[in-house]
Amino acid sequence: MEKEYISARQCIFLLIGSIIGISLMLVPSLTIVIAKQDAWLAPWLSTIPGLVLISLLVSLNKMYPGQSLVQYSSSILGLPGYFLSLLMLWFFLFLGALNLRSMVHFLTSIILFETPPSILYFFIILLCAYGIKLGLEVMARAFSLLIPFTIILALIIQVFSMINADFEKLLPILSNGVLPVIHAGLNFTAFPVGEALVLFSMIIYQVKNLRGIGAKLSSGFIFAIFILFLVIERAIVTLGPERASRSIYSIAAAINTVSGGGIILPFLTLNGFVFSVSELILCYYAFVTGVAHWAKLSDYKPLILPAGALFMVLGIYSFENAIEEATFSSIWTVYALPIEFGIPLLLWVAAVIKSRLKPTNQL
Amino acid sequence: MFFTLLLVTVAFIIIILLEVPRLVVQKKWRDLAAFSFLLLPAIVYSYGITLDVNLPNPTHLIIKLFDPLALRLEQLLGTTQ
Repeated sequence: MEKEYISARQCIFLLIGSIIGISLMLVPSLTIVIAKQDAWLAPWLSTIPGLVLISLLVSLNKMYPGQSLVQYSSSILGLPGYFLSLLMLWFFLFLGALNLRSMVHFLTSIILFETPPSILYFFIILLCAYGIKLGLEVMARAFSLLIPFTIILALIIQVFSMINADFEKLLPILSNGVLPVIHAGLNFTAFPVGEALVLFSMIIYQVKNLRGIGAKLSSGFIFAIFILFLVIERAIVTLGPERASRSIYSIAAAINTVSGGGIILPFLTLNGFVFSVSELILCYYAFVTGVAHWAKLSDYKPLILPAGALFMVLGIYSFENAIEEATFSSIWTVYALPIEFGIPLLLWVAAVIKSRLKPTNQL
Repeated sequence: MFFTLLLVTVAFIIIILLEVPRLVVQKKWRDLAAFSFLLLPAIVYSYGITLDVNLPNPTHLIIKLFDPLALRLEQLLGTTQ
């Protein structure tokens, strides 16, 4: 497979885009329903596990340069490594399908009410397939142009919707104790943070200049957390914890409370679309390249179209109704955390033990 | 339903026509195997969805496996809703 290279700066933009991702729309209600007015603390709680995961991935990349997670898991653990990377590939596939489903759900319930969902599924996947066919370099360049604009747009929307802000709604702080905040923090660690960071195990090895990549990625990560913190805080101070926890897309509901907010709604949709496409396209890319590495193929390009069909089918079929979808968020935490953090940790521990044992064998 | 079936069939024929002849000419049997391994479940599930056949749903499996653990976590943190 021919090597593609991206710069560290492009990698940071991809990281910011994929962490914010679809969680820009979903995270406020999911955290507020558990932690009420203290939900804004949840993103900050998840910075520590996030930074640990980044350092794990960077250190693994240093030990096995030029290899993706799928490749080094088999070179560290041998045959069990193949099964671990198969689990990881399934995780990427399912994550991408859920992302796609949430995007389509958002579009059909906010603006495109009468469009059949399968049309939206098809065109979003077609767009992503085209992006992946062009390669990672092109995608990274496109997103390093798009993401800064989108962040500026997000900040403009933030200013507009803060007109009705009432900061009294943040009080009383920690009235229900610390446990709900910890639960919300765990959910936050599983849903936007861990899943987006683990995708970078398939990207980091393609960064050209690896000096200081850990610090650069960490700063991008903290910035994304800050944006999500702003979004959650905005939902609390404009809508109040009760109303924000009842609406699925509290970010859109917050805008609708402002007079003339309908004008901002298309911008909001554009905003959400760019962020969530950047996450979906990375899932897609990680899955396709992962399968190619796993089966030791020469090129990942023949796999793009069947993988797209698989994403679309799984996205449509994964849930039967909205209630199932809503209850799944609590299961996602216990399902995803072991995969997102457990597999890199296991590989790292095994790699360290292996490298410690090597010199003693030679002596 | 007939229209949907037609569209699904056309879509899969296009996918196969775009990739398979090139792979066969270049004799990339490994790639072809991976290609069909991904395409086969996609074909089965898309016809299953159109014809309303009950196929095993991976989400249900995950829910069944992890639901007790999720409940346990909620009890532990006292956030049962």
